[in-house]
Amino acid sequence: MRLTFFGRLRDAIGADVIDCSIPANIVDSEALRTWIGQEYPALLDPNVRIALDDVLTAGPAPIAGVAEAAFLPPVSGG
Amino acid sequence: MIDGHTRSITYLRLSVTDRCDLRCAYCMPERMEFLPRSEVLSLAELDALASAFIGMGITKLRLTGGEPLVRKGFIDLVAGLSRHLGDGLDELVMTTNGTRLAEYADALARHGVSRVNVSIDSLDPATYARITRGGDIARVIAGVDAAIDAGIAVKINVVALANDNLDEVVALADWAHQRGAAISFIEVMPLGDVEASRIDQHVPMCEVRRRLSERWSLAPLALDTGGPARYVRTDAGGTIGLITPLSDNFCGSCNRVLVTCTGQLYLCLGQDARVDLRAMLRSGDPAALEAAIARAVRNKPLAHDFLIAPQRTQGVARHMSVTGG
Repeated sequence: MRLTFFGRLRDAIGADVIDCSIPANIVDSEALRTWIGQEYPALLDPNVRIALDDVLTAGPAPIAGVAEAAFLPPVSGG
Repeated sequence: MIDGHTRSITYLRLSVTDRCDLRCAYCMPERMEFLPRSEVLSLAELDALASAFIGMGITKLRLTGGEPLVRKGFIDLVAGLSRHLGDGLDELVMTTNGTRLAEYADALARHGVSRVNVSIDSLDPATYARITRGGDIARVIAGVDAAIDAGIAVKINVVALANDNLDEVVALADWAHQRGAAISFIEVMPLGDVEASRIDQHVPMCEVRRRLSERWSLAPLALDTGGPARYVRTDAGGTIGLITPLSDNFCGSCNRVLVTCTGQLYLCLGQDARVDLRAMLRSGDPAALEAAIARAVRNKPLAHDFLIAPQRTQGVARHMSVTGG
């Protein structure tokens, strides 16, 4: 799966794109967050949104067949 | 020493030479130009510098290179520095490629070197020779065994390389653990201009973790070394470090500074700002040297600024062998 990181997440992780195979027991977007967060704790912030193939998730969404997961930093309002 | 971000600086990495008997493709170009000897600190200067840092609160000293064991008189330097053990200095350790470890392990142990990190990127003789441009893995393995026999704790450092050793990570961990050694996997870093493209060779640590987790169940280990390493323990009892040097999650607890073999103090491996301590040393004014160190440490940067991305990899121009690997 291709993982992409935007904004300050890109700077925190030191890469904007990572290609990484995901273990079979990781089946949804929140499990994916926890798995990748082991290396990159910045992603564990619940305010970091996850988009699967350009569709923003709200809560765990299945990742079967997904080509790209994008991690979006929280955007401040005002 | 406390820096400007309230981090306690207790760890000095001191490079004793930029020379190396290997030419690892990710570390330096094949025809690396080494520094003229006059620019490199003498053994007496290295001792004076390390001693000044220890006097200011450094408790862990790692000697690096280049390859430290190719520096003439290196064992004398170690023997001299060992006088600080138990008197300010808690740990005297080194990083080595292991090619001369079989010869020197007993002397290192005798002079109080408690741990060595040995760089081994492949156990396959042909792959090892290709990565290192001519290295002999059998000599390195003999060196690891000699260090363990001498009572030195060994950690194997592996740079994860997409084309060279990704399929070998489980075998490498198995091999290290069978010897009672720890092992760490490290992402390739954008340091210095080398021929091989770093994008092509870059392996994200989650890929290494996935491969290891297919073999073992990995439990997080609360072992904070103040560096960019996460440690896990396998269900077979082995320790594995997973190091993501490009991520800045660990900068908040950074406890280290680096000095090159020419006496340049870097406050961060990933920043260009440096302070010339050699000039201070050669001016013969210990108070000025200490003041320069204290001032530099106060200004240690909060974080580095690495980025690996197609077309615009952002790193620093110094080779790893210059700052100390």
